[in-house]
Amino acid sequence: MSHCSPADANLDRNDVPRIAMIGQPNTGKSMLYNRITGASAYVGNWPGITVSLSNARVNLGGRTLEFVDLPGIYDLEGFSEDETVVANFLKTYPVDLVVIVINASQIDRQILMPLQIKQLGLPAVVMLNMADEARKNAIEIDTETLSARVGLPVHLISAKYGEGYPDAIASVDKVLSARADTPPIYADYDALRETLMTEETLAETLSGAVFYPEIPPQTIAQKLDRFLLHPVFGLPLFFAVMLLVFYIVWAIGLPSQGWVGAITDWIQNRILEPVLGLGPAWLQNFVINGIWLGVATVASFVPLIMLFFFCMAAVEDLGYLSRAAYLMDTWMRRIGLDGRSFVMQMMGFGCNVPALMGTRVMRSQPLRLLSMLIIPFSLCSARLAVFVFIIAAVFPPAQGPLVLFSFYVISFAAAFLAAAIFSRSKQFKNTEPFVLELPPYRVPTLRQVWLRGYGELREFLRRATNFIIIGTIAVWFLTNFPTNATGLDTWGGQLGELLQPVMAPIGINPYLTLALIFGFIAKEVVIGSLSTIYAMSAGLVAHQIGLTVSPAAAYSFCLFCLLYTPCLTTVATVKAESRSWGFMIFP
Amino acid sequence: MSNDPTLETLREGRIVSLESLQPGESGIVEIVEAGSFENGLSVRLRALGLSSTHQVSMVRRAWFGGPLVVRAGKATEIAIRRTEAELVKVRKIQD
Repeated sequence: MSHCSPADANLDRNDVPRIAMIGQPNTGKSMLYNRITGASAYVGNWPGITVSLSNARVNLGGRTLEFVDLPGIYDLEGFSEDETVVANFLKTYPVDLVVIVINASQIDRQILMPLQIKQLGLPAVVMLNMADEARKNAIEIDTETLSARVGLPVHLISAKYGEGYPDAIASVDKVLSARADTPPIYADYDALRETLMTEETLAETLSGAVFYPEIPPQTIAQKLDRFLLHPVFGLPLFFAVMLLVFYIVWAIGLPSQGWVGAITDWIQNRILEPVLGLGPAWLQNFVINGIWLGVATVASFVPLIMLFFFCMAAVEDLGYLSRAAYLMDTWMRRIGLDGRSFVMQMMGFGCNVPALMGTRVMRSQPLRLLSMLIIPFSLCSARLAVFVFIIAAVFPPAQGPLVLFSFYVISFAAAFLAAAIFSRSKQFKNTEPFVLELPPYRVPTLRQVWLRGYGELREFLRRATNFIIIGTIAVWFLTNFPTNATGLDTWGGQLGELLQPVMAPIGINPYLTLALIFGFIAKEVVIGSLSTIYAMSAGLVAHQIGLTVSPAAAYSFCLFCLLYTPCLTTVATVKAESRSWGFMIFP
Repeated sequence: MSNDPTLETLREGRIVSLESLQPGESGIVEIVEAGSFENGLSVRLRALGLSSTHQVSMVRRAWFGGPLVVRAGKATEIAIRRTEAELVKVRKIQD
């Protein structure tokens, strides 16, 4: 690709300088990106790029800059989906600067990337991140010598603690100022392919600039791993940690739904009803039972989901998830998956959607598809809320936690069974080597966990809100027409009746059938729709269900809710990630 | 201890698979065979610092045929399956 003619260059001028951030996984690239952009980043779609990338406009030194966070990749010449995405991006979108993030302790191998970027002909600044860790490992780096060798500015920084950060940003500013009148550049992959990068090239670049200690000091990771990766106790320890996470979500997240509920009720009673009381009654009914109910339902989930994402961000930043993948691989490979599929399944307990997106790290399409097949079986937080509601209404309090636990067991069993069956088929033959980096343990900072958790939550809300509002409006229509009809005489009630021949044998009544139909849109809608269907407030519905639904029927309802279909967002994500309609319908 | 020439070569280091190393033992990578992965395995391992002339040592071995943890180069720990480690040939370093 050559876009060097002056006419092209003018067309290709970015309206603000574009800076791409690139680096291997576990280099703290996203942490640096978060430090630069604060919470201003948003996920955007780039035509020609198959996945969405996070980007942000930031004011630095009186200049507006656009930062793009490229997926973490191991090799610019690699073939995994993420690696293809980066190559396509750099070929399709000209950049004014590349920020290369490197884990300073691993510069012995990661120096490859700056050398490759140089071959691509892109202007760049190298950031040697995690300077604090490198110091702990007694690694000495002479940035000036290294900078002269590579021919790029090199900075030792700590994105986590901010060390060296101002100088590094000043350097970015300087490079941009120096090339202020130069058009942005497309990556020249032909030049990279023609150059052979040998081990000697790497060694020569580093010699005299980087010094590793003769005997590396024993790290905390080595001591901790002796327990956490213990051949026998490692796995039980991991499950104990996950149990703790779910306990925290349960103990703090569930009461918080009540607090949010109190706030939304207050808004409804004090603001919405008085204002809408001025308009016609149907409008009040529509806005309150149709739209507001949906908004309030989403809102009540926010603290619970936020808490879950915070916990998962902390566990991941700690470096524990990749170790869980190591621990579980022994068992996962027997059903055609690998340790990473299990980690994604764990993520799926929060929300299936980010877990599905996480499968992008897998290079083998069969492995990815099989992982995507089992993730929707994960009992996500939205389904959790439905179960808690029904279980609390029907079962005696002492049995509640046990019943809920049994659903988690079924969720795992169903996923493993599905994987075991489908992995027999040639279509899902895993061809990917299992090679996984185990990063050192790192203490997550509050700031980092907050930024990550908040970002995930915003993404979740963006995806979920529309569906939930459309869903509750649909419920409202089906349960309010024909006018004057109530309960089973409405269109919705009749729909529930229509399906009775199928649903009655498994003990699910027409009301609950209707709720399940709406549950296809989003599981969050189920509870809200029950209120609308029964035309009662949530508390009364719980009472009514407790009187009319037997424990066996309630169990059947929950089981059906767990297994029948994932929510629409998940289905849409499966479609987008697998790029196939057939596969979407399949699970 | 012995003057047997075969044992001498053994002491200088013989080529074995990474899979056969015991925790604490190390070797120098000779070659990464393609196996059924074409060049997928060697490209990924190169990026992780596990390629020809680099030192690698065995850190731990999971039970029940599970994966291995090896240290590549100076500061990178990698989990790798036994079948994949079988393809990495190393010249064993004698203590």
